[in-house]
Amino acid sequence: MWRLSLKGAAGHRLRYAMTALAVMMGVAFIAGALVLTGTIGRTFDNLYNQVYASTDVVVRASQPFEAGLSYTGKRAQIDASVARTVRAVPGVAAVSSTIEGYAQLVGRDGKPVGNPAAGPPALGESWGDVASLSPLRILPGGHPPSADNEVAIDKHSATVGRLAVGDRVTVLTKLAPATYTVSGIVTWAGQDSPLGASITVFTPAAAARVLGTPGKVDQVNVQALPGTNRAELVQRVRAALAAPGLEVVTGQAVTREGQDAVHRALGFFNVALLVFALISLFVGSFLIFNTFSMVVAQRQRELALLRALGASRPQVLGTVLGESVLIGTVASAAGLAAGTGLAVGLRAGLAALGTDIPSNGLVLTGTTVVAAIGTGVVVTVASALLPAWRASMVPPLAVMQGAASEARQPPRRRALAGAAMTMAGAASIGMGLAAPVPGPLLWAGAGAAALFVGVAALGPLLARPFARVAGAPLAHAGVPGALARENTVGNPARTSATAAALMVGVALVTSMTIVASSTRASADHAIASTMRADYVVTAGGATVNSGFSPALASSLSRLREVSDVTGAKLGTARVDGATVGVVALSPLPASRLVDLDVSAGSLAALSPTGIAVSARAAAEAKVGIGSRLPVTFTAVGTRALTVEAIYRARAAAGDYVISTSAARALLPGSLDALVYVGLAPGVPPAVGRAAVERVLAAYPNSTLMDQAQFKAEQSRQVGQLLNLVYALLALALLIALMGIANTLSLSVHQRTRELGMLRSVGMTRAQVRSMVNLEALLISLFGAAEGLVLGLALGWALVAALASSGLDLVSVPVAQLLVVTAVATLAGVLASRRPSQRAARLDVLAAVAQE
Amino acid sequence: MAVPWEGPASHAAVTPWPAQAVAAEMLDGVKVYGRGVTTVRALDGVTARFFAGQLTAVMGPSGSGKSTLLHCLAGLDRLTSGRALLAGTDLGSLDDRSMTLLRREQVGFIFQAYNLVPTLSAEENIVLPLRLARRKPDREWVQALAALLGIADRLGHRPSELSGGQQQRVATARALVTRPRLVFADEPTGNLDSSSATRLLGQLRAAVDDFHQSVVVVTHDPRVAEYADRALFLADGQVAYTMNEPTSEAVLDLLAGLSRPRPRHAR
Repeated sequence: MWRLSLKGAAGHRLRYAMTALAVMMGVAFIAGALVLTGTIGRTFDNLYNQVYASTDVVVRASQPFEAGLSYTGKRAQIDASVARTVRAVPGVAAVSSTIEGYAQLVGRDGKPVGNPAAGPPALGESWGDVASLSPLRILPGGHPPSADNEVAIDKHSATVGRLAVGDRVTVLTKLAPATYTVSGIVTWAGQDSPLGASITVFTPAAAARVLGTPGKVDQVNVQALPGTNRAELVQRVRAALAAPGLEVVTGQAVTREGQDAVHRALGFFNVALLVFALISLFVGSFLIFNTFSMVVAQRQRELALLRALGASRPQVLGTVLGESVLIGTVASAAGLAAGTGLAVGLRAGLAALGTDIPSNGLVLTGTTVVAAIGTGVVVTVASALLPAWRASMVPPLAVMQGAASEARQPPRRRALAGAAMTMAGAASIGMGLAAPVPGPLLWAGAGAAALFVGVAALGPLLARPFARVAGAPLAHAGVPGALARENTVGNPARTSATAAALMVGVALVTSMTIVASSTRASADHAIASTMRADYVVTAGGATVNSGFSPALASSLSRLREVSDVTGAKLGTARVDGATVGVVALSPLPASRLVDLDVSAGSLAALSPTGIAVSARAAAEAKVGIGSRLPVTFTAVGTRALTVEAIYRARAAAGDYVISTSAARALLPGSLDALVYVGLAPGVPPAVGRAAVERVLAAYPNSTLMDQAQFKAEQSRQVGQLLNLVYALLALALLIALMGIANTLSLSVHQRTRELGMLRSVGMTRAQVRSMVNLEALLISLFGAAEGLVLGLALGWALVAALASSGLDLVSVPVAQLLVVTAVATLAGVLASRRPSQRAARLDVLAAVAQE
Repeated sequence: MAVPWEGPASHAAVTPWPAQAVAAEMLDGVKVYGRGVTTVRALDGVTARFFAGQLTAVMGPSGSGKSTLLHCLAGLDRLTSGRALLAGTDLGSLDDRSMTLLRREQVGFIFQAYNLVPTLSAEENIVLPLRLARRKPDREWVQALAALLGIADRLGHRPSELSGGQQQRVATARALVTRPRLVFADEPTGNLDSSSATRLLGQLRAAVDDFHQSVVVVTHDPRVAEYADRALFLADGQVAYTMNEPTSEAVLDLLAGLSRPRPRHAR
């Protein structure tokens, strides 16, 4: 039977080509994502191993909770004297203190080096003299920073910023911008830069001042004497220090921590990519199902012959399934190869964006191979299961009859199953979005898949009336139109199965468009209703790990033209066991610049020990004005803050606001992500703006925006994200279009006789072509319409679920959705180009040739 | 004699051609399929005339080239060499589009396998050639044809709801609806039972007698000869014999002779 599968697949290879291509593309996506993240993960693993190769013990501040890879969740600093104490511990060969913080280099062109808004971080570090404990190496021709006005910079930044030894360079830190002399160029663990991040290396004294706090360091790295037991050394160091708030761990533990954090981050990235890969394969499964259904219907006689010759039902089932296994395996293997190539391309793309992954060779693990090929084969076989089952049900007697067409009227069972599946899907989506279930995204995703399959099963019931109504104008436009309509109406199962793939694509695009549009509308509304400031200064897109020195806000507040200025710092804290965001503002100016819709207490009078809480968070934590709310910060631990104001406008500042003075202690070293500026009364905007811009000239990473520009910027960021999602959905849409082309090709093949007859009684080639095109038009229109309706529902559900994250407005961009529908439909017609041409070129004799 | 199509002038009835006028003609037609060792000369220098107002039967054993003759004469296929003329037009000079239009206007087809569009009703199938040409069907004419062919009460049905005989009569009505100069029928009785076949042949005869249609039937069914004015016998891609006013007995005798293996490689 395996032999028959082989022959079957080979004999129908043209018909299966599209199936194989769809599987290949989906698998390539999966493999590409896995290889890329695998390679990045391995690279990081190696780098961490290298960086901590000689570090046996690390001393640092303990932290109350893990806040992730951001400065706002930084550990507290420790006393610089710790290093001296540790050095004296027996078994210690060398110690090196490190200080790390924000330092943005400004290139020769006056622009920030790298892409601080979206790219890798801008790091500042202290120079350590113990080479074995530092990944930094000075290249020949330079020397380490030896004076506080000298810095060494990484080789990548030197190249990008066109900076050389001896050049003067401006560096933005948490202090006011300052100019340094480049004393040397460094490599980091043998690389030009740590994956595209920029590094500015200061003397320890300068680092303490511009990156941290004088007298404090971030951690002390320890190298043990050869032959020293590490665990015992950790014990001895711990005993020697005996101070609260200190943590002594092995270098290995720190290495693992870093590696784990990278793998966790990559895991999220991976899941995001794999979701889109699975969407593509899901869309492809409709194509596979359709192809196998049509091929089985065409081969009914052949299969019946097998049965008549003595093949058992399982053997026939096995033959068809065998074909699917074969196609799935071959296509997946090709997909794996293509995916590896894709990873190379993606790496190049990331490098172009500034994240340079050192080429240590691509990592193709066994897991990647098994996952990619396994998924491809499982999807192919699962999609072919139902058609194969139908094939096995062909009675031997069918040998005597002509090839029967596919079922015309959908059986009631199918309708019931479809309705049940649709409802189960909708319920599962509801559970995922609204109910507190574990793995809400899995619920919602599985629900969406079930919903799509359910609607596809119901499709035949909808396709008939739809094609009848939508095709009505065609019926009056001549025979090609009328026949196209009849074909669509006459094969509702085929019409709906073909349209299903497009339905999924359009539904996803529609729902994402609605979410994006609602996000824009909500952000616009939030800005309009809360922003009383004339201007806002931003540091570009990302608000984490980039921003301004508080010196910017103080410079601005000294301007005569400006009456109110507040920086906004973003921090991470823990309240009631949950990690939350905290915003720090200067109370008095903030109360005039940002309208938080305060319902109780006063924002203007917020004290250094007070906190303002949103009405929602206050209700959740059951606190009121005067209550003490325990908040845990990474740097200082838990503090009980007094609730001094309650506000309603969450969109502007999240759930928790503290004062800037409180932030000095609670969020040490954090930058202003935004700065709000209000002009003094009577100052003309042009004059005010010019004054502000003069100050901003020293901060090349700043952008000054008025309210309209700020709205446009937010909108642009949403649009960027939406475009990324569109790009990731493009493959799914492409596969959907391939499905339409494939079905039409198979249908043209199936109707060779009918088409030939039409030609013989006088249908011109142009008429044949337009008949097939119009059929594609009706099918695509059906799919797009289904997708539009489902997408509206899904989009609404998503926005409703995201209401608590600030998406309080539902916006349906009618014009944009009409464009989406029109484009999808037109693309469907374009997909019919080849099948329609083939139909038009068909030999007239094919119809009249007797068997 | 009152003929149904001599109604409104707009319907441009076919003027009965003078007796012995030529409806279609093949001059030294050669058709070669394949190349190299697999070369088949389906037509090997056929010269034949088909007269207007006659029912001509083209007969011969399987593989004698009779279907190829029909395909080349009806503009479905092109000759390798020689000329095929349809209503005075040299088919070799036409491009695909002109050929299609010529078929649409001048030729009707009846196939062994009926070849109806499954998604259309009987009536829609019948008027298909007219609608393809964007001509408005004349309801009275369609009704008259349906009545003649005995399918007046089946017009609203789809092909799958009709018997084989009824389907072939729908196909016949479709072939006649454009009042073509020539109707080609390729083994029209091949899939029919005996009484349906008899009935169809009577109706084809009526089309010739009553409507002055010219009909060419390709068949190996000797019964067809009874209804034919003339019979043309093909063997090995050549015209072996022609017979006027044939009878089935004479045809059977002749076919028996043609089928007997001829000593091709005489010593």
